[in-house]
Amino acid sequence: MELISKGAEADIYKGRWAGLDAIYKVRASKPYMISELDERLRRERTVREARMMLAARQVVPTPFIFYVGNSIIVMEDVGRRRLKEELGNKPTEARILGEYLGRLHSVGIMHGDPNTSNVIFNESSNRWYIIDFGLSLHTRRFEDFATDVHLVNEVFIVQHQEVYEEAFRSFLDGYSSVTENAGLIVEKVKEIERRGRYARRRSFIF
Amino acid sequence: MDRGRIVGLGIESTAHTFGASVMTEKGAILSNVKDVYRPPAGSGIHPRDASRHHSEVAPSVIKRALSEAGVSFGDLSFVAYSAGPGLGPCLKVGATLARFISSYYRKPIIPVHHGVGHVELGMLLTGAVDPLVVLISGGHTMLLARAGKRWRVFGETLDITLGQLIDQFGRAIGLPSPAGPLVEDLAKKGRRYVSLPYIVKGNDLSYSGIISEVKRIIKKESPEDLAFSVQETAFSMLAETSERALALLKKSEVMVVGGVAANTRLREMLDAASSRHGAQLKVVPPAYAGDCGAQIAWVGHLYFLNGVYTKPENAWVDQSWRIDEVDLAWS
Repeated sequence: MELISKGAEADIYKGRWAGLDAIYKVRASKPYMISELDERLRRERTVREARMMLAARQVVPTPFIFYVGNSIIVMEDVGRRRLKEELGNKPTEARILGEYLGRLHSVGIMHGDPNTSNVIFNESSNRWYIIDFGLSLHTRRFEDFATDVHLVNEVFIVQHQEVYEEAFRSFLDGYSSVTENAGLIVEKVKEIERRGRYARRRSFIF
Repeated sequence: MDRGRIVGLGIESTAHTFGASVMTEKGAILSNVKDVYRPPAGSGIHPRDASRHHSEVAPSVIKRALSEAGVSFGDLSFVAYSAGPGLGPCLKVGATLARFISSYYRKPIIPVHHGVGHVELGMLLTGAVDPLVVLISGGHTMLLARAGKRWRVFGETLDITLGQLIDQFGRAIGLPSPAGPLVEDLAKKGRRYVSLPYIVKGNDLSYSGIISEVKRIIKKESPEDLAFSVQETAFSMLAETSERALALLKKSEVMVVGGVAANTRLREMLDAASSRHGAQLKVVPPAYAGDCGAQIAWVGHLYFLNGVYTKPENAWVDQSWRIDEVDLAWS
């Protein structure tokens, strides 16, 4: 199998499964963690990711799951074209991340790691997919939804600084268009960012 | 060796430590004197008591810094002080003294960000060029990388810092602050891992859940096992978020600075996390990991060499100055 990327949380391989192109997401053991913690995290996150991907499928495109093991998920290969690379030329594309996040929140799912590397364009179905549910959870708390929005803001500041204003506005437009309580959640985001360490003048735009 | 000709004084007074250091523009540390306020065991740092301590020791610390360096006030090219972030009353002690020296001896004055001090002194002492910075002290738990004229934040704590977690844990089991080394010793005797909340959100992390859970189970578990479990959980979270930042930024160096950098177990974990991504770990020498005057003196030089300084009437403090708002005058 071919290693595609080595993340912090898992290694991603490209391979085949029952005659189909497949992605193997492997949560390898971390040599620096004590085994109790390492095993707990790998098991918990693998199971959680598989469950949440299934739950999310009712409202957003996520890859089809072929197999779930102890610390491995084999899933449909939806491609390599990431939203991350598209935003520079077309900041308004950020809208799709907003829509998907809003739809997830509407059914009580916090993504936990929403960023532009986790939104992938599938050429054959002509649709964007959202992936990487290892840190996600079922919740009804506005605080959790607001944390997702805060994380997007942080990622945009760091990775899409040149197009930040337009991209983040597009994201919020998409988010508000499908989220019933968007206004209240956005208020909560401001509260989180005020609470952050010395966050007084953080550049959160509205 | 040419030690340099320009000498500057740096004064540090953000929290526990009152420190003063004389350095040259070539980075030679001619003196680095400090006196650390130690609150009674089991209680935290009270800003008023700490600032009283600082006012009492300040004259002798500064005098010693000058005499050990073999210079007088007249020889100084500037005086730099920590302007934030930190405890208001403590910051004011350093700022007031710096302002006095600046106006009485007619020297330029330079306000310095405490966190930038940790980072830039680390760059000088470790020789790191373009690292992912892990800044871990009482006031900061942040992952940083240089972007243009700013240090940019790539991940940070959503609530308390790693230093605060360890101090609060220490206090809960009756240790004096700062509790870092004592907690580290206890942890070495821990045998059993007690499950604690492990909270990573994107590139950010949250430590407040750990302290709440520890307080809930404190009577049921031994201090050794708790210390071990707190360290393992908190450090693993930091190592994981560092890995996330490394995977994103593809840096070849990781530099660890701040008081908690002195912890051996943490260094071991960050070393393993870095090597998974082909990066080399560089750690600030233990003597300069904690708060000290040298971190302020060195940043003072970086500004002074680039012509950035001010007059005493412009001296100010900012308790909540964010590191990513600091304009850096040097490349």
